Amino acid sequence: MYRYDEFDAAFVASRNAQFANQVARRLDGSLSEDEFRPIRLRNGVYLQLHAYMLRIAIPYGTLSAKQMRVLAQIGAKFDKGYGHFTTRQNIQFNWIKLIDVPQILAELAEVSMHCIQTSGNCIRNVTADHFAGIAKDEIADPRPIAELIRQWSTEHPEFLYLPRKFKIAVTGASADRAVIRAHDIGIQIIDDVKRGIGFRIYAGGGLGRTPVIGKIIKEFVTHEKLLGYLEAVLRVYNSEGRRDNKYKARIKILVNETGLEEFIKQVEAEYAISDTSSVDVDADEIARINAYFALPKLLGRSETKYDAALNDSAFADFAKYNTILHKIDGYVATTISLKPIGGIPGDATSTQMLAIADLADKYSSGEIRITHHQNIVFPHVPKDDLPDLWAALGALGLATANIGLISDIIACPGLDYCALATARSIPIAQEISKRFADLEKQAEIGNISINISGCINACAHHHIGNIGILGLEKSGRENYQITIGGDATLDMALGERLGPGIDAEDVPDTIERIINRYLHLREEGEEFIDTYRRLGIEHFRVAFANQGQILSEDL
Amino acid sequence: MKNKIPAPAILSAHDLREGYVAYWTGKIWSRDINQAKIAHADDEIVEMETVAASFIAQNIIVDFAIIPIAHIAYKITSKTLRESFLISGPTIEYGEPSIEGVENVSI
Repeated sequence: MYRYDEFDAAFVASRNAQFANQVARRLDGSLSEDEFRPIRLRNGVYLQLHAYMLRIAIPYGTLSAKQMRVLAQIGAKFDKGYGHFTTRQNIQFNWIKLIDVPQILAELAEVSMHCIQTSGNCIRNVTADHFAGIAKDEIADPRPIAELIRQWSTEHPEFLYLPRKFKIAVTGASADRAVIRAHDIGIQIIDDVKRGIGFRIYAGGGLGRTPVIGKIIKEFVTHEKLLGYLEAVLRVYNSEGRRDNKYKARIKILVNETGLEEFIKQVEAEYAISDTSSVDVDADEIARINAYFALPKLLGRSETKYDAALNDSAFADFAKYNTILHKIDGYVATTISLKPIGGIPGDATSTQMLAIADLADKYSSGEIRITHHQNIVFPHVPKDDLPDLWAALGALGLATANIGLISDIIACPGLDYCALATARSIPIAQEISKRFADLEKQAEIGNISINISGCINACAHHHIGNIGILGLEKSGRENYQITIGGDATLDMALGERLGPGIDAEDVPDTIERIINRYLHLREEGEEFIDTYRRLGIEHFRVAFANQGQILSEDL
Repeated sequence: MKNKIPAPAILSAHDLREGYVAYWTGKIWSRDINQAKIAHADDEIVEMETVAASFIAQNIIVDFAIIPIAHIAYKITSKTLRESFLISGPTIEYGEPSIEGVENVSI
């Protein structure tokens, strides 16, 4: 993984010193809250419903064991003993004190971490496929590109005061595991027959109150010219994006109001007159960054212990649902579920984080990934070590075999924590998880995504969940809208609303009725999204509308 | 200008340095909502806004709210949804759980 050089370390140290000074000036009143707010946001500090929240950047979701230990210690020393992993591959701490932030940043800097640009109207954390570098369907590792963009975008003097936040995601495999079409810019690595490896650029994607699926604005850009092209996109956005209305300020609105063709023309025109010499990347620089992401030495291993352990059905299920085969024979990438039945999606205690760090050192060459599903990946686990790893995870409450199943729910913090939320999301996730606790049932249902957002900002990506749940307030009560048919892959689709909002206590029953309807209607081999696409929403509206009545499939 | 928040109401704010929610008791800021001073009339609510502005100027608090309240089962709660959760705190158990209570779930 990327390691800070002297320039990086000096930059972060300087930024920390600057922010420590700004905090001191806020506390003594030299800075008003209005003056301080944009500063603290660009350093990852939010004021939430109950306390300050600190969002720490985990670049493209990649962490070392050493870094995870420091996160665990921050949780224990400065918070309430836990952290929350987010849908943008970052970590948040919910109970931070402003007076402690400078010290926290200093401790993060010791392990090459920071909170820079994790909030505010700037380019945010670049996210990527959590199986980067290891997936068998990979064309090229997206992490070097994500790192290149991270370096380019950090404190980019032109782009620190954008009309609104700006999110970039990179995928390098035939399957998109980075949700690129829901990002302001999505980058897909492709292998062109004539031109070799390059990048297809999507722009104008985004969720929130106006969900839009990103569209292709450039079919192919070379590695050398990528940053220059991104600058052209950002310049057009910076210049033409709306600043009069924060709800209309994202690039998706600009692309929509300008028209895709005209937007592309503007970007091309901007690119044509740009001097990109300072950002064009030569082969040496590409090779230098690539070198940081070389696979660790993974020696051939036997699989005897693994094969024998498969006789244990519990282990076999963990292996089936929580691992994928690595590029290198004899290894698997292992997903650690942070979705225990009835648990809080994405939360891990400091104890668990410390243990995860130790286990990563022992079983994964010290490397950890955070997924946008709010789970953790050990990318390089020898298959023969998996039984021991599984046992160790079990002792920590981290061995739930449910990746991709109905209890692998994505949920934002919601109104339990977030100052912007209109309803709670976590208790809804917990109740649905408990309703489908029986894992035989989960296996029967198969792959399905449930995404629960506590407000219209859609931090849990409810628009693109196979089942999406949006929590709102109606007449002083929590009220939940259900959508179905969302898809987060390259075939991205926005869910359709089933009907009027429902009360919180009705949500688990409703989800169960939808699932029963699917099981009743599906053909062999169909997943939920396939059945929905084949039949359409009306067949599911029947289940939604008949609450309180028994349908044949409920029996 | 007519006050938009109906009485009875209390004044809450975040402690600037530490971020926790506190309530104005009439003399000090307390984390105990049962100590909160209750405004029963419009002019008392306006006075609370003045108090809040004063403490903001002294860099003691940030982000205040006047919360309309009701008493339910002798407990103070807000009439507005968002503030009811601000008062109650998170409705979920968080932090370090008892590891003994966690099952190793399998199919």
